[in-house]
Amino acid sequence: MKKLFSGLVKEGYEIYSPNLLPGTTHFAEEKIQSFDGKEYRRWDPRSSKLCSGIVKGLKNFPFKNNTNTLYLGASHGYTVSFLSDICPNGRIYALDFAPRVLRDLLHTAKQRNNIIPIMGDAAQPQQYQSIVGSVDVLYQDVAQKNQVDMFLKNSAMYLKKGGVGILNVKARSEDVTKKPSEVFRDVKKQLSKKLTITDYIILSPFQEDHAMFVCKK
Amino acid sequence: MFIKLSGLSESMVHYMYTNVFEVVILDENFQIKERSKIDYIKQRRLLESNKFIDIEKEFAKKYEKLMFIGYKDDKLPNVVFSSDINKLESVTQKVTVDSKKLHNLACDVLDIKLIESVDKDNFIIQAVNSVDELTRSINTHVKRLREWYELYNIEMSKKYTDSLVFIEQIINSDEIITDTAFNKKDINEIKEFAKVIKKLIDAKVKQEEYLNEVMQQYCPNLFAIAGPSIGAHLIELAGSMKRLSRMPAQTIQLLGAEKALFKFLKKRSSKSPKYGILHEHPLVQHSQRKGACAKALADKIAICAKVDYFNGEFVGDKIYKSLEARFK
Repeated sequence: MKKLFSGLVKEGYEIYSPNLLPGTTHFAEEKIQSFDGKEYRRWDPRSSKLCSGIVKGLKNFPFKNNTNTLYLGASHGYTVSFLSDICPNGRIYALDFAPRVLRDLLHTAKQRNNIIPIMGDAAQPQQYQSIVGSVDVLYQDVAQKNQVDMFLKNSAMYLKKGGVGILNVKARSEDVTKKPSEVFRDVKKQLSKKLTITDYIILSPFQEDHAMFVCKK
Repeated sequence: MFIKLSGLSESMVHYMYTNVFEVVILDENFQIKERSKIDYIKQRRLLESNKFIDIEKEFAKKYEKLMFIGYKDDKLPNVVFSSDINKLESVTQKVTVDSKKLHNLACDVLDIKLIESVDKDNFIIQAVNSVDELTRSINTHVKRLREWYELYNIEMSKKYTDSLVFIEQIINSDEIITDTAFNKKDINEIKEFAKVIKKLIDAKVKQEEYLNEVMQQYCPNLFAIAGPSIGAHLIELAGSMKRLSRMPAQTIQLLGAEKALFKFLKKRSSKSPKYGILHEHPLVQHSQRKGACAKALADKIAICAKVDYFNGEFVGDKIYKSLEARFK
């Protein structure tokens, strides 16, 4: 067992996070294990892009004990549930717009007090201005076109100065006909106009045609 | 007016900030001057569509110059907007929100929104998917039943090719062939299995009737031109009636042929597909010019979907007849 940052633990090749609610799991394939009498949940890099980023060597992990996060594209809440483990005293504003996945997310959120589920469109950040205040970290993982526009709009409106933005780009949603490397180059160009890119990780083999950009405002 | 506002000195400005619990007025040093509680669940439609709510309007009358932290689509003469992140930060430091309360409110709001989001579309999509799955499982079960029963009686399985008749024959047959390895208990097991399949078939027929009824009521034009099965599949592939009504005809023509389309777009080596789910339509199947027919049909379906979504008159009959005349 090796200690990583922010309470995370590495055992062999697998990453574990401390369980905020010992004894409960949210997903069927989850595995629970205890180290030193504390309960941990296994974090699967194939289901979570943030975890695959860590495995592939993310340098500065911005999530701390009391970090406030705006999470765009929360989906079923897999990654969100682990962020809620990592930041027990922060708030995670988890946003999505599809009713089907929000049903699952709501179930997870009702058990965890630091998740604030929101139904809204990330392309229109004004929609949730009365719920979300300023945040330390902006995390985006949406499979849509114009992902970068969306990211920049949200970061301008909600991200604190000095805050960290993490953008996961799915090349296949941006343009199927282009090569992923071309898409990533364009994204880099667009991002560096407004923010400074500190890290760039390609997430294969865990996620095909995905890249993670870590930026600083 | 504009020049006055832009030239306004900082000392005269009051800040207005709205969160889910209250509207707050702060002075230029970010000290709270006034606060007024709001009921977010009642006001959320206005707040989400970026309109001023009543309390904000009252404050706007009371104070001469206001700077709203955030953005609104509405305009009031003495209110300017600021999306400056530093101001938002200093305001949210003063106006704190209890995490537990916020979490409970967010969960309640989402509960309401999820209930509101359910539409007739969802019923149609679930029903058509269920019919598809039942068909698939009935086929596999009947295959197993035939295999099993053939051990006992070979002729019967070959004689009745229609599965429903075959199942009914098994259930009703009383004769026992003596010189086989089967005793009464073994045959009863097969009969029980046949009864279960019979029930599945009944359920499928009922669901198809239900689908027919709902489609006729909810989207009569689409029903008239595409039939219940293809119409429901189109709604399912598009995601909802709203999205189908906003789709161009070319997209509708290729719904269900995504794999072939993307193969074509990526490699350009294969030919572009001509039709997706519309291939199953009787007009397309019997036509000599399948591509042209699918194109025209998709055109008319796009019109019908728009008429249905925006509650127009019934025109499906007329449109279908004109198509029939062209392609028969």
